[in-house]
Amino acid sequence: MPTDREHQIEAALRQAARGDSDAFADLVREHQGMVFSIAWHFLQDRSVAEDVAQEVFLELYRRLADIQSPAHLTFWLRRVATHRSFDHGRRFKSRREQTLEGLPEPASEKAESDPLLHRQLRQTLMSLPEKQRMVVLLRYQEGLGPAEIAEILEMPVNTVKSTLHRCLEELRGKLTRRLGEVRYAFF
Amino acid sequence: MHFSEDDLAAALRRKDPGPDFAQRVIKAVGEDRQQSPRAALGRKFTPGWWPFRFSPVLGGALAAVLVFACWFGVAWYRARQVEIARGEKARQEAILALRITSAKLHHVFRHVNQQEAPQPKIRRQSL
Repeated sequence: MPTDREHQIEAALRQAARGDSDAFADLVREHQGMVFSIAWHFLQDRSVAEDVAQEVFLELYRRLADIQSPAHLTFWLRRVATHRSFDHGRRFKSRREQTLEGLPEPASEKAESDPLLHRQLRQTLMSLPEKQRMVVLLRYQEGLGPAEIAEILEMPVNTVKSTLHRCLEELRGKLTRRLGEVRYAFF
Repeated sequence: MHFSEDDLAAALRRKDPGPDFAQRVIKAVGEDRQQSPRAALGRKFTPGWWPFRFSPVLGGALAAVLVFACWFGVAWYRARQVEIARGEKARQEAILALRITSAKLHHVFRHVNQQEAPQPKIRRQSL
């Protein structure tokens, strides 16, 4: 059953399709965190992530007439953000490697319980191949199930499941090695 | 190193692009709307995977280059055909000339041979 917020988004969608820029701004504000975070966690570069998010919303504006419902809008935004992130990831590969360390992170709504561990996790995630990284992102940032991830990334569901399992193992292994190296450097 | 799925979810918590992001997007949308219809036409005819934006100027330049290339190709082909025809004609004429020369030489050679050949002796028979 659609909630009030969904009704509001649906109304904003209709108004934006008729050219109401305030309604479109509401849509942007509603979804900017999702789109920006997909790009930022994938690319680890704030300015590129903002460019990606802006591109995605510009494309949304051009295709507003094709969007049928709030659910369709969310799916469309996730999908386009994902693919735009892949494109930019390939284009800015070398630049991204330089910016992995040391740049300030965007503000998060909640304070992190273990910022060091979370930072290490994000950096270790960057060492995974693009597709695997995106699978982990969609699963843990967006909380999507394997079927939804499969639809967005155009992969078989079983491949998504096995990729997730493999990625977690790989992350654990890499994080252990990484922290081991840090301890070795300190002691 | 152990971490839970909650840790991963917390590490990948959504981030905010900043308070003025929506304004920037609206500004970009406004600029995009103000762009000439030519740019919209370019977007319409540019497939998503193509890295360059189609522009009518670029399209016109490409068309001009294509037309010039076609014209040059046709002119070159015609010139080549004329050259080949001339060559063929010259060859035929040379063959004809050689044939005439050969026939004349043959005639002269036969004539000379006939003159040089000894006359057979004719016995006069007494009547």
